[in-house]
Amino acid sequence: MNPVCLLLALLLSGPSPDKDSTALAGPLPQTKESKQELPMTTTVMDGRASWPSSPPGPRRAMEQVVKIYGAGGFGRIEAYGVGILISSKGHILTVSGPMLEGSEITIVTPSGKRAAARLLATEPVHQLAILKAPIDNIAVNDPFERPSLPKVGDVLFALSNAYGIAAGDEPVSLQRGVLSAILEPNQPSKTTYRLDMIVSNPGSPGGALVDATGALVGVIAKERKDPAIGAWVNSAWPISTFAAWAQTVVNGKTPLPVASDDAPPSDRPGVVDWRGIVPLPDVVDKAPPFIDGVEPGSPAERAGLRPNDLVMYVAEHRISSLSDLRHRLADVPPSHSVTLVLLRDDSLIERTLLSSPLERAPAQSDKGVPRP
Amino acid sequence: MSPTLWWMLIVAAAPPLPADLLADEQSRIQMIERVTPSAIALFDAVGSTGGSGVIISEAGLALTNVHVADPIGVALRCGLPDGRLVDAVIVGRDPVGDLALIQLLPKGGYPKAPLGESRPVALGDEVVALGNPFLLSTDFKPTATLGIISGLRRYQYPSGDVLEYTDCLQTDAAVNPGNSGGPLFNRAGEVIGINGRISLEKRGRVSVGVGYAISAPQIQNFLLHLKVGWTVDHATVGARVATDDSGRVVVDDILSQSPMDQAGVRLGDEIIAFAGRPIGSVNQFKNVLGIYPSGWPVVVAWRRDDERFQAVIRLSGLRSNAGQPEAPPDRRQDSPPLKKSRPPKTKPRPIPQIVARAYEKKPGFANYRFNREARDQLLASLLKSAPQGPPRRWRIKLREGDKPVELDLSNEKLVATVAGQTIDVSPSGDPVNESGMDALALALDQWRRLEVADRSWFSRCDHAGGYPEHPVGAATESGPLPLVILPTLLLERAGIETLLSVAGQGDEVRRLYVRFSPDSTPLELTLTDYVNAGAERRPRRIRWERVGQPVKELTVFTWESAP
Repeated sequence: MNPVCLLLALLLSGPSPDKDSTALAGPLPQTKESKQELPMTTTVMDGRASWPSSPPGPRRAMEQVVKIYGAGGFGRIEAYGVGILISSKGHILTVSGPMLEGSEITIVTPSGKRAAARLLATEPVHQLAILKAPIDNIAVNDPFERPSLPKVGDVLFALSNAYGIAAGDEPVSLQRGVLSAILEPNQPSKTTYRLDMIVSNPGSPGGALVDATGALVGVIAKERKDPAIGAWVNSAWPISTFAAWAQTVVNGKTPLPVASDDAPPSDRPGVVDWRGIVPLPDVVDKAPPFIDGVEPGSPAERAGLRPNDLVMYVAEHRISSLSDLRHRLADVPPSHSVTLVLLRDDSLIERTLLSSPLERAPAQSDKGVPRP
Repeated sequence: MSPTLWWMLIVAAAPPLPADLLADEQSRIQMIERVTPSAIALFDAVGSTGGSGVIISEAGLALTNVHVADPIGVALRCGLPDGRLVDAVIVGRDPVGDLALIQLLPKGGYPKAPLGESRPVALGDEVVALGNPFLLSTDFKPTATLGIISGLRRYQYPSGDVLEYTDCLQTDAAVNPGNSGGPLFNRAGEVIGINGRISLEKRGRVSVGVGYAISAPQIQNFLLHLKVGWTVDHATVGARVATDDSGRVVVDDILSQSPMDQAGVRLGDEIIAFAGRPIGSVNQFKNVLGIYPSGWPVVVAWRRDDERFQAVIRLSGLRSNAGQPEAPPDRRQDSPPLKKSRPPKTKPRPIPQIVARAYEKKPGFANYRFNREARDQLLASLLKSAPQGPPRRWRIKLREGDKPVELDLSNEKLVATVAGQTIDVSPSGDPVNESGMDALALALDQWRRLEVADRSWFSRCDHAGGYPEHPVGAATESGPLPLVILPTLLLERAGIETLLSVAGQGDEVRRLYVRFSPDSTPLELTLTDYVNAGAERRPRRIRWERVGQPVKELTVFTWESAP
């Protein structure tokens, strides 16, 4: 766990910076399936006292959530995360990102067992990834069998490794909130759940969003600041947005890229087209951000990028590795421009890259393709 | 149609809300109304800094955080939800546990909230935080936020050697700057924790749904220490633990003469239980260690080569050992302050008279006045049946197994006779055979001196706070012994340090812990089965324990107290 970007602050209120900035910082409905109204609370009784608690379903669902540790631990790139067991063969759904790009990925099961995991597939549109770990003897509910479809206003629970608080066999963090909105409900691949609980925290993306019965509803999306309002938004991807892809990976087949030829996903969060840049093969942990090639007709070519350019800065952020570059470009909303500072023949030059909407599936990228 | 009519139609057409939902809402409202009077807002004299607190006694004792109370100082201002603004004085401080106890002045007549849960807190329990976020409540009415318990037994690293959150509660109820020191309630309206910390990252100093509260069980362990005016210390065992490759928690480093070392724990031993809790991770060990005051006896169990060992150790002080003054907590500038402007430095205000009368400064104490008063009360209770008049001589006849023992204790000399053999003991604490009956004579004489001379014979007589009746984690065949915290006196004379714990109706000495010199292994006596001997209460059984020695069981036959 990395405490560097985890500022734990005491809650003293007051004006003096050197004083106050001390940073240490219901029962399961056994009724008909059609009944969607789930209790927000259940009453726990032990003879002496009774008062509301959360229904037991979300606590049981913790058995399907694993902690993930990988590369990172500097800046705002966390070395910890969370994922959901989606098959009894050890498939784990999580979010893609630099954490999975190191040489080692470790998962810790709810019982505290550690195992090495490997990255099996990534999905660029929703920035999801599937890992596989040699774990067995874990009963996994197939989340795709009967997907839970919540309604706006339903009480939901988030299970996540927020701030990496939980270690070893300690249960992950449990949060409660309501489904605030369902965005783009008519476009299955773009549907987004908006939540009123704060899940845009480090260690939360990749966590499970469950209903009061503990049934999986979605996966917590990557942390994202809405460029229009400048605020961090709390969202999750419904099962329907990734089910087909995930099932294909679990079944060991080559999945089709999610971004198909339908409408351009111009407002898809966190996805930027950088296909025009052909990077050096990303074989070492800190591969230098050299451009190996530029695709003809691509935004990269239009911006004037050339092979052998070394990317020094993206929008004033120092770039130290290919994964860093990918991460920074992923923060740029589609149809936005970003200034790149390049080192070319001993001189620094500035180029503006216009991130266009995705028009077709990545051609030569390994994304969306299972790794051996 | 007018919008009003539309609205009426919509309302009329809406299905009725479920009865249990409405009942739940009503019970929540009632619970918040019930506990709100106890939630207070804290400020300094000029209102430039502050936080929250909760009243836990009718007399007006209130809990808050050290990091709220310390910047305010000895004299605090408290706003009550009924609109009253009263003075308060610091009573006790726990810098490691981030807890402070204050007394509202004048004493008496305050609304209180019950401290401690009647049912263990469970993951997912609904909770309500009351407090003064962003110092909003200019009318002193607290802000209520609702959430659930997101995690239990969380560990949050200290800042330097202070402000360590161990075994704490994690909640998604909104907790913001200014909520510090305020109560976290369960739905029964019981204080289950004191909110004091939040996780922060990219949004600045606002709630991100991850707040931490000091748990009520931890507070209960320290409460008597705080009530009697101490600046309390947390504990260390003089050893470091780490997780090995197979996931076991093993001793990684150990200091010689530390409590663990004296108990026989060695490098590489696996710690399997501490204070009655199984240990499966380093965090769990730190969690358990962090909730007990220094000086408490706890049971530690360890394993070496498949053999299980167990011993009682006395926790040593975390900070007193270092012998260093309190270091200020780390100050990070990257956490932005709540307010941008900083008020002009004003001269420290004079302490109000009502506070000055309730305050007494003394090293090691937050407020010695509370210690003095509590000590005098405890002494009066203990000595209420003690005979008046000239110094008394104790003649005690007892047996250890078949061995008859006679103790003759007077101001002139101490004599122990074991199976006909006489041992003279110097009452001034010459070297003694610490396992012999002369040590027992010297230990019991500390009690006699208290009885014949009150406290004047001792160079030090303070209220030591609360100590457990049995080592924490101790068990009998019928199960674990309950944690009973006894008021205790700290006595010193001629290098002999005594902790004397009082039970019964405040008139029985239950435990005597005596250390003859700083380097010696203390002896511990548990005195039970009290009977009336003349006007006095005397024990019939004495259990004698010393680390590394077999336990001795003594039976008392006569206990004469005569001039």
